[in-house]
Amino acid sequence: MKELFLNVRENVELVKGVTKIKFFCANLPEFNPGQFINLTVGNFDGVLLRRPISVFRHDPAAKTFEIVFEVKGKGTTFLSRLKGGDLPATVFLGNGFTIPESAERVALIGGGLGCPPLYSVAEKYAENGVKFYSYLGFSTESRVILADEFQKVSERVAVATDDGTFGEKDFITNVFKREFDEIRPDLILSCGPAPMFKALKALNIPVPTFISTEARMGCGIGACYVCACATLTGNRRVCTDGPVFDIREVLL
Amino acid sequence: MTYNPLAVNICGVDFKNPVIAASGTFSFGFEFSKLFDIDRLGGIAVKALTREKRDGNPGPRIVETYGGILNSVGLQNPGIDVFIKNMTPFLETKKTVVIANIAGSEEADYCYMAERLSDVGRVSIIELNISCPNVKKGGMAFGIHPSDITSITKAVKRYSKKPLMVKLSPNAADIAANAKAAEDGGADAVSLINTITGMAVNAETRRPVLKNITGGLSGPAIKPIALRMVWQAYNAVKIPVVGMGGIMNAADAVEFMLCGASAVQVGTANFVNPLNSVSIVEGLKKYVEKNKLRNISDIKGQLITD
Ligand SMILES: Cc1cc2nc3c(=O)[nH]c(=O)nc-3n(C[C@H](O)[C@H](O)[C@H](O)COP(=O)(O)OP(=O)(O)OC[C@H]3O[C@@H](n4cnc5c(N)ncnc54)[C@H](O)[C@@H]3O)c2cc1C
Ligand SMILES: Cc1cc2nc3c(=O)[nH]c(=O)nc-3n(C[C@H](O)[C@H](O)[C@H](O)COP(=O)(O)O)c2cc1C
Ligand code: FES
Repeated sequence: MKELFLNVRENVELVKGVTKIKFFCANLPEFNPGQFINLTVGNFDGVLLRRPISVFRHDPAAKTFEIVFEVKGKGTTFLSRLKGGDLPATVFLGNGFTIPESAERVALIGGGLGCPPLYSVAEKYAENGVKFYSYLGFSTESRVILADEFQKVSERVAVATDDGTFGEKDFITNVFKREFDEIRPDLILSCGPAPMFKALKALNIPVPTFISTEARMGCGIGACYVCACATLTGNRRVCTDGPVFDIREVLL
Repeated sequence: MTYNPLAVNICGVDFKNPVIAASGTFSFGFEFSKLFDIDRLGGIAVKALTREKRDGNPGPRIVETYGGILNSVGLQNPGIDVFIKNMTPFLETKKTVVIANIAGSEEADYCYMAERLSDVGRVSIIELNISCPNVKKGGMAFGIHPSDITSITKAVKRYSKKPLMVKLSPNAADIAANAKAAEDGGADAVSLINTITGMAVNAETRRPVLKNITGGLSGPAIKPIALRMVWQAYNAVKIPVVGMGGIMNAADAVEFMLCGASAVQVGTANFVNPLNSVSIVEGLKKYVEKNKLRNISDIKGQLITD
């Protein structure tokens, strides 16, 4: 990890309330898919904490990477309005996803803003011949993001919405369950809201499953212990022991 | 060797500068050492140690409020044995002063840990944390009434071969009396302030934001209170006072020293930017040059009040 200034190169609204920013930095450290950054969101005006955001896409040759985030409060509103300039950030934090050599068929199960970090995995490993099966769930049509991007790196992309306005009207975990026997994944990676993780755990599928969790953070680098994830072995730090944990370990 | 105008001595311990990382925001220094050379800091106060490993409170454990943060970590730490076995080898490779912050549920816990740490070479000062607002038993309970402060300080002092710095709680009626009580108990220094108990509520869900309901407030929002308390403590005791609470930059650090602090601790600022503590050291260097001071401690207690 490094403390760096990130130069804002592009800022686009993907759908209403969801922004994509591209950053450039000449000396980015090594990146492992599933890692995040901890980003300054203003010159002190009552806002102190940085905001953790996952990396969506990484281009080491161009020395750029992109993030995709939902505008929720003060911090993400600030970010969504950026047109240029440099932002201090601690870059490439957490463990990220591990793809064992033996993995050939990987299911990605994303919920809403949990989809971007999963894309970073497929982007890197599809080139090496790993097959990806992407299951993306959203609340409604106007929230659907990145489906086209996932098409390019996946054998199959299924989209579901809670209200049926786009794709199937179902929870994406149910769609995945129906197709499980057909795709026979040897690894499942997931990122999304807690209820999705619960549904996934309830499927009781005997395939290694790893989930990327969230917690409110202080330092983002492992030094303050505020980002607790309750696990079978006690509270662990989302920012350094995670954000990716084995679903069996996490107390959901 | 050239003279170092930032060097300070607190209860017999030499610090290369008066900037110390505050307990609980810096773990044991390992993580921050990946981002900068922690030997550039005067010292580090490690995360509060307890006799046994503790898991802390359930999350969420942090929330940002205007100009501050509330935390309810609740002393999560690996326990004193793991600290001595696994963390001190790393600290051996560093030269910055190590302050061991200790907390417990009973007086005996504090005494036990002070005795153990007395034999740990890398620990130069023991910081008695009787001011943690996030645990049900012990913690702050020892740090509210002057008589309790004197008695626990006296007890721990008997077991400690290292200088003892008593960390005072702002959740107290009379900070001057509490500082004096620590001095009466034999404290070699006092540090203040720990966090101020507070709450954050979500109007929509009608719930507290922190799972623990209450938490400790830190950051710029508490600086005026911290300055006032450091000033009052400084005027009440002869032992050194280490000041903290909302220090974000070198000017803030100078303000604390003007109010009587011999050194300062920096906590929340480490989250705003992990390089802030070293920026403060650099800023103090400039302040000394600009004001043609022989040593930074020349400004200690030099608040002009006429
Ligand atoms: C490891 C990690 C990766 C993330 N990746 C993404 C991503 O790729 N895209 C995306 O849209 N969101 C992501 N999030 C969530 C994102 O951090 C929050 O939406 C954001 O911090 C909200 O900030 P705000 O100031 O707009 O909202 P506010 O509600 O005003 O924030 C107040 C405080 O709460 C914290 N907070 C609020 N929601 C969350 C949350 N869900 N998780 C952690 N802290 C929170 C904020 O950081 C801030 O300190 C991620 C969170 C984590 C922990
Ligand atoms: C996340 C967090 C954890 C803390 N943990 C401890 C602790 O373990 N022991 C202690 O004495 N103080 C602890 N503190 C208090 C700080 O050391 C410091 O006294 C307080 O935050 C005020 O300084 P600041 O405004 O610079 O942060 C903690 C503070 C924070 C924000
Ligand atoms: S955010 Fe500080 S330890 Fe995880």
